[in-house]
Amino acid sequence: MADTSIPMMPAPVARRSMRDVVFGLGVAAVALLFALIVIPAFISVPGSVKAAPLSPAFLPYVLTGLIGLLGLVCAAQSLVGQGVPKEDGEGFDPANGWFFKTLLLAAVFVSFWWLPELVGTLPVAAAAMAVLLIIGRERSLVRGAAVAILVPLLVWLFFVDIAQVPLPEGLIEELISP
Amino acid sequence: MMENIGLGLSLFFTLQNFVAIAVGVMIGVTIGSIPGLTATMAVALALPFTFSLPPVTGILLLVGIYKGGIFGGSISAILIRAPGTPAAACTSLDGYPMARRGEAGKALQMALYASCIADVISNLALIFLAGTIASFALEFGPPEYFWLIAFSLTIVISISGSSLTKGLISGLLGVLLSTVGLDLVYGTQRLTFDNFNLMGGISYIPLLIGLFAIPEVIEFYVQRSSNLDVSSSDRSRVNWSEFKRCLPTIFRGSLIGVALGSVPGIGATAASFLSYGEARRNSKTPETFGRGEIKGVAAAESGNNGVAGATLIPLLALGIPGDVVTAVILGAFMLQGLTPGPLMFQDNIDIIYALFCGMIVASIFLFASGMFAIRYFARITDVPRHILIPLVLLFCVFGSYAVQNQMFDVLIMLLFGLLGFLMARIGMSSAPLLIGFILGPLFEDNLRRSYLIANDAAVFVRSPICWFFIAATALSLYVGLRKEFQSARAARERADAAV
Repeated sequence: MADTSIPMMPAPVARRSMRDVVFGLGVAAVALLFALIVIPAFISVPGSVKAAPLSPAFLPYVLTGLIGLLGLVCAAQSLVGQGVPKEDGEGFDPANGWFFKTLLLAAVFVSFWWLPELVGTLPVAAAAMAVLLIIGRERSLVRGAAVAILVPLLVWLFFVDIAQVPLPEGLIEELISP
Repeated sequence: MMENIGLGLSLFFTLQNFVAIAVGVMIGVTIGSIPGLTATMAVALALPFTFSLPPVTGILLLVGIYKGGIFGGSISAILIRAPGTPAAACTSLDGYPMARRGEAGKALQMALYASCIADVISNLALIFLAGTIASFALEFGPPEYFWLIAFSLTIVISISGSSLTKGLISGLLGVLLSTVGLDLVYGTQRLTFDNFNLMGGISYIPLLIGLFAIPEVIEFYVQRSSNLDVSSSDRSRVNWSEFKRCLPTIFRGSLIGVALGSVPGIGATAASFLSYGEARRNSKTPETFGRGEIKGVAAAESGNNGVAGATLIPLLALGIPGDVVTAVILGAFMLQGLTPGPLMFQDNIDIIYALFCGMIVASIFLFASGMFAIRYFARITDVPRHILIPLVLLFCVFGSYAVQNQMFDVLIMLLFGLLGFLMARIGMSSAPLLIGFILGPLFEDNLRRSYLIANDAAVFVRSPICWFFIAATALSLYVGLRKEFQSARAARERADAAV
C-alpha cells in the first residue's frame, strides 16, 4: 500500500527563540522588582549587623542580582542567535480537550489542599481518583469504581495504620473512631 | 586485638541479629520506595522498638532500615520519577528515561549493583579508616566547609540540561528559596510574608516531590499521549559489558560518597549529584546523560550509598552525628547506655566489631532484598498509566502531608509541581534548583559563621584545605564551563546540519 502521508519537513531550529527572549527579560524584570520591593519589605535587617555578609539580606540580594543578570544573558543569547536548540519534550504539545482536563486537574489539586480538613482525606482521595480515572479515559465502569474506592482506601490505611500518619479525618472521624 | 574480634563475632552471630538486619533492610527498602516516607522517618519510627532489644541488635535494625531506605528511594525515582529520598532525585535523571524506553529492570538492577558495591566500600572505609578520616574531618571549620560546599555547587553546571544559563538560574533560585524562614543568626524573618508556616523554611520533601513527580502527572493529562508512552513488559537486564563499563564510575562515586559522608553535615544528596557531575564530566558522551544513560544511574546510586557507612565514621570515632539519621542512631546508642566516641573504642570494642560485622552482612541482605524487590517493583510499569498516575498523585499528597502533618506542605508540593511543569516546558532543568536548595543553607551558614569567627575575608584562605577546595572549585568551573560550551556549540551545529 502506498504511503500517502505527507512527508515531514525538519522543523526549523528555534535558536533565535522569542520565548527565551521573553523568558529572559521576564526573569530580569522579576529580579529587579524582587530587589527593589520584596527584599526591603520582607527581610528585616537588624541595625546591629557589623559586616555586609552577616546581613540576612546579603545573600538574597546577591542571588537576585545574579538571577537578573543571567536573565539578561539568556535574552541576549537568543537575540544574537546563540541560544540552544529546543530539545525533545520542551514546549507544549496539547492533548485533545487539554483545557477541560487542565481545569479538572486544577480542581483536583485545589481540593487536595483545601478539602481534606473539612471532608476528610479518604473521601477527597476517592473523589479525586474517580475524576482522574474519568479524564484518563477508564472505559470499564466496574473497574473504575473499584479502583476509585479500593486504591485510596488501601493507601490511606497504609499511611494511617502502618506509617502512623494522622491524616485529616474530617467528616469520617465519627465513623472510624472507636 | 584478635581476642576483641572474637568477642565481637560471638556478640554478632546470633539469630536475632540476622533477623533484625533482614527485617530492617526490607522495611527500609519498602518505606524508602514510597515518596514522602524517608529513611530518616523510618529510622525515627523504629527507634522505640530498639528499647527492648540488645544494643547490637537494636542498632543493626536501625542501620538496616537506613541502608534499605537509601536504596529504596531509587525504586520510585526510576519507575515513576517520584524520588523516595532527596538523594534519589539524581537517580531519576537517567533512571526514569530508561524506564520510559522499557529498561526499568536494567536501571533498577544497576542501581542495586552500584548501591551494594558503594555500600561495601563505605563499610570498609568505616572499618579500616575511621580514625584517620575522622581526624581529617575534624580539621574542617566553617571556611573549609564553605569552600567544600562552593565546590559541590559547581555540579550545577553538569546537571543544567540543554541550557547552561537556565540551569544556573534554576540553581540560584534554589539557593534563594532556601533563604526563606527565620534567619539563623539574628532570628529575623526572611521572605516569610508573615506566614507562620514559612518560619521554619520551605520543607524539602514536598519541594522534591512537587518538582519531580507532579510534572509527570500534569503532563499525562494535558500533553499529547504519544509523548508520554512508557514501555511495559520489561525484561531488560544489565549485561556484563555494561557492568564493566560502569565499574570505574561506581568506584569513583563510592569514593566521593565516602569522602562527603565522613564530613558531618554534607549528606547523600550532595554526594549523589557530585558523583553524577563527575561521571558526566569524565564521559566521552556527556550529551547522553539525562536521556537514559546507565552510567548516570550508577554514578548517582554509588554516590548516595557511599555515604551510608561513611556517615557513621564521625559518629563512632568522634561521637558527632553527621546527619539526622545518625543523630537518631546516636539516640539509640545513648538509650542503651553507650556513648559513641574515642572511649567506646576502648570500653566497648566488642560492640564496635559486632556492628562492623553487621554492616557487612547488611550489605549482603541489601543485595538479596534488592533483587527480590526489583522483581516485583519493576512490574509497576505494567500497570496502566491512567491508573498509575492517580496513584502516584495520592502517594505524593499523603507523603507530603506526612512530613510535618500539615496541609501547607501539600500546597507547597502542588505549587512546586506547577513550577516544575513550567520549567520543563521552557527547557529549564529542575535538578539544579534542588541541589541549590539543599546546599544553600550550608553555603550561607558557613559563609556567615566564618565571618562571625574572624570578621575578615582572609579567613577564607586560612588553611591548605581551603586552598585545595578553592583550586578544585576553579578547576571544576573551568572544565565544566568549557565542556558545556563545547556541547552547546556541537548541538547548534547538529541542529543547523539537520536543517
